[in-house]
Parts: sequence; structure tokens; C-alpha cells
Amino acid sequence: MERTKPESILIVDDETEFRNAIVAYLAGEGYQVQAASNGEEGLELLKTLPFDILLTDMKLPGIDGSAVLQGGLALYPELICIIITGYGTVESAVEVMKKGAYDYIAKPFQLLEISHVLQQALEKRRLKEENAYLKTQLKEKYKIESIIGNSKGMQEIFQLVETISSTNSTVLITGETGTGKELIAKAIHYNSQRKDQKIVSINCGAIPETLLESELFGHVKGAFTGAHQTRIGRFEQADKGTIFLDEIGNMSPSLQVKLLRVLQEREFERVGGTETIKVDVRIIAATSAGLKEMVEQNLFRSDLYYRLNVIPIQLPPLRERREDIPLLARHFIKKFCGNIETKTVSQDAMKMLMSYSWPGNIRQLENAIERAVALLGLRNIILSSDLPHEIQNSKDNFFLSDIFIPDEGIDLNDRIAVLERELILQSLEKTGGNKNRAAKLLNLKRTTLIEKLRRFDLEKESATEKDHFA
Amino acid sequence: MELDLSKTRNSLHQLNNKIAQILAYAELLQLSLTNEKEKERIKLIIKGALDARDIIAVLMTEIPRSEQG
Repeated sequence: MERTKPESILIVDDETEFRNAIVAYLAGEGYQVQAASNGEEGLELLKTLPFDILLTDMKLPGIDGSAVLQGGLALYPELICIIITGYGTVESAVEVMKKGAYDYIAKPFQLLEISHVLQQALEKRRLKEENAYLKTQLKEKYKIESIIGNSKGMQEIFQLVETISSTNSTVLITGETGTGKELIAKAIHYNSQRKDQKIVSINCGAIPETLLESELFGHVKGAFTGAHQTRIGRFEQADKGTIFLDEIGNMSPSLQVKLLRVLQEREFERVGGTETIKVDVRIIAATSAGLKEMVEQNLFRSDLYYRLNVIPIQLPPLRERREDIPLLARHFIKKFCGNIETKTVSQDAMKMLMSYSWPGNIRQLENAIERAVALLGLRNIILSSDLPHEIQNSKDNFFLSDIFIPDEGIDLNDRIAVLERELILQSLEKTGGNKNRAAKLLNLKRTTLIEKLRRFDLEKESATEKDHFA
Repeated sequence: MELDLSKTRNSLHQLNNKIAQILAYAELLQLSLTNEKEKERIKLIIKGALDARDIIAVLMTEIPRSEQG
């Protein structure tokens, strides 16, 4: 095992020669080793120096190994304690393990044995620390304040997420693909009392119907060809935590019945099994399909829909929260530049990002920024040419490319009037001045168009054609 | 004459500690040796120590449980 900083070990043993041999061996293995000949001395050393590992003999003159272990753990709860025991004291060593020792090793042992025990203990502690760190990171990542969105719609959703997180109610998240349904589901979980338990996600649309039942509920050995052993499903994995059922609209009618029972009773049977399994799980479902319409068309059970739709959250598409695009763009630039904040988006490129309709929503924006960052090279500014072609060539850009609020602000009525006049002129140009066809192009009544032509002083522009066709 | 089980157990413990010492130093020595012949000799000491450890383990199981500490 590769070690950057040597781990420190305290050895407590009254057998001087044996103790010296172990010290010499472990020091040679790269550990920082200190030794004590009795329990009192060991405890004194523990009080003055923090150790990673305590290796103590069980039988000591004065206070015994058990007392040293308890004293050490009281000082450092993360201390790894390994007990050395003779044959006659294995039972008492087991008792000590109940008090918090990591392992015990029977004397006489070979040096490699102690090396393995130490490495395993350190690896276990490393995994424990890594797990704790990742959990903290996850909680940080899914904190409501960490989710980006200043728009009114998103702020209302954050408020709702905060309120409902503390409850156990079922949530149904709806929204177009890429709007962040899974992110909201995780935010609910990591802000709930279940945050220390698992959130298990499953995309019901990505798994063939025949496999989905076994994925969700597990199966018993021999339930079907290939079921060589009993396997627990996602609901059991999520026990005490949360299950996130994405694309719930893709679920078959038979599975809908089984899910309904879980929602009502929190119990089910594994595929091929007879034992009823009870779970304590919060259910968050999501769909990009119109579930209500599916209910009307008898494609989705209405009772299941109402059971799922206890707390509905409708996520707006990105085009309806354009004010969040600069914030999101900045966030993704930071993400893809490794947290370096020197890269920015040019005004032209930002105009394109702001005016594009984003059918793939935030996921599409993220991909566009990732691509742009990859093309940046040594430059610091993302140009419009760095954006994907579908954004550069989008007709949305011609329509909205000039719509951008400068720092000094705008006169909204004036800007709308300019846009209206421009569109009317284009319609007349397209139709050779034919007011009937121009009105049709604009979805206006002919009389409304004539009134607007008068208001914008555009009567001359339509005069020639009027003489001929009107 | 009856065997004092408590004394026997203590003696076995002490013997065990001595074997631990022999085993540990023999292994330390083995780590530093380069001469193949000497390495073979050390292996024999280690094997002897391990065998002695197993004999003591058997003897320990022979002592009635109530007498064990």
C-alpha cells in the first residue's frame, strides 16, 4: 500500500524483547513507531501524541489492554485499536472488540500477519473517511442554495423543495427532458431526514419491461431462467432512504398495479417469491410525458397518478427562465475549466445563448458550454463561433439577437414597437404588399393590420399592391 | 500427584511468549539475510517455532475451560 505520510503506531507490550522486535519490523515497514512497556505509560503517550493505531497486549501489569483501549478511544474516537492476545484470552479479546477494537491477533504471530492486519485496518479507515467526505460533498452539491436559478419560477420551486423535504410525502416532478428533474429529486433527498441513507435512482424508460419488475422488486433464486441466486431490488436497496423513479410514464400496466401497492402499503413480493417484504422508502417519481393526458387516454392508471401526484413540482423549460442562462453558463464554464473563473462568454455568444430556444434545456446548455470550453484553447472568451452550429444557425437568433438589456436599461414599449414594425414590414415584403396574405402570415385580422400600418406610418409600403390586389 | 492447572496454564503462556520472541527475531533476521544457506537455516528455526506454537495451542485446549483465564 502506498503511503504519503507515515502512519503512527503505539505498541504497548511488557515483553521487552518481543516489543523491540515488532518496533524494528514496523519501523522498517515505514511506520512511525513508539513503544510503551505498560498500560499507564501507553496512556500517557496517547495523551501527548495523536496516533493512528494502537497495538496493545491484552495482559499487562497494572492497567490491562482493555483499559488502554478505552482510554485511547476516549481521546481519539478514530483511533484504530488492535489487541494482541495469548491463547487463553481470545474470549476476552472478543469482548474488547465489542468495546471498539478493530481486530485482535493471537500471539505468537508471523510478522506478515501483523502487516496485513494493519493494512486492512488503515484501508478500512481510509474508505470510511472517503465515504464521509463524499457524503459531505453530496450534501453540499444538493443543498438548495447550490442549485442555480434566480428566476421567479425556480425560486418558488426551491421554496417548495425546502418545505416538502422534511415530510415523507410522495413527489411527482414533471418537466421537459434536461430540466433538472433528478437534481431536484436529489435536493429533496439530501435536505430530508433521510439524507444519511441512500437515494436509489432508476430510469423506468431505459430498462426493458421484462427486466424492470425484477430490477425494482428483486427476484428469488430460480424465479426465471438465469435467476441463479436471490437478488434484492431497488426498493429494498432504498429501504430507509428514497427511491427516484424516472420516466414513470413508461411503466407497463401490470407494474403500475404493483407500484400502486407499494405506494399504499409499502410492501411487495420479490419476483417468484412468496415472502412479503416491507420497506420504509420515500418515493419521488418524475416524467417528461403528460401523465394527466395519459390517464385520460387510459395509458396510465388514474389511482396511481393521484397516489404519485401528492406534491407536484412542474419544472419550467429553460426558454421560460432565460434570465438564468448567464448564471448557468458561468456555472458550467467553472465546472469545465476546473473551477478557474477567468473564462467568460462574449456578448454576441451570450446573445445567442439567451435567444436560443433550448429544446434539450439545461442538459443541452451544459453540452454546448462543454464543447465551447473544449474549443477555447488558450483564449479566455467564448465566441459565438465556439457554439454548436444548431445554436449559431438557429432562426431564434435572427428574431431575438438584438433583444438584450444593456446596463442603462430600455424602453420596453419602444422596443416592442420596433419589433412589431419590423415584422409587419417583412410580412408585406414577403407577400408583395398584399394585406390579406400579410395579415394571415402574422395571424392578424386584416382590419387590425391596416390599423397598425396606419399607426406605424407604413401605408405607403403597401400602396402599390393595394392598388392592384386589395 | 495432581497437575496444578493454573500453574500449567501460566507456564504455557510464558512458553508462548518466548516462542513469539524467537519467531519475531528469526523473521527479522530472515529479512536481512542474503546468503541462501543461512536463509534455509532461518526457515528451519521459524518452522520449529511455528510447530511449537501449534503444540501449545493443542495443550491449551486440553486444559478444562473453567480453568482458563
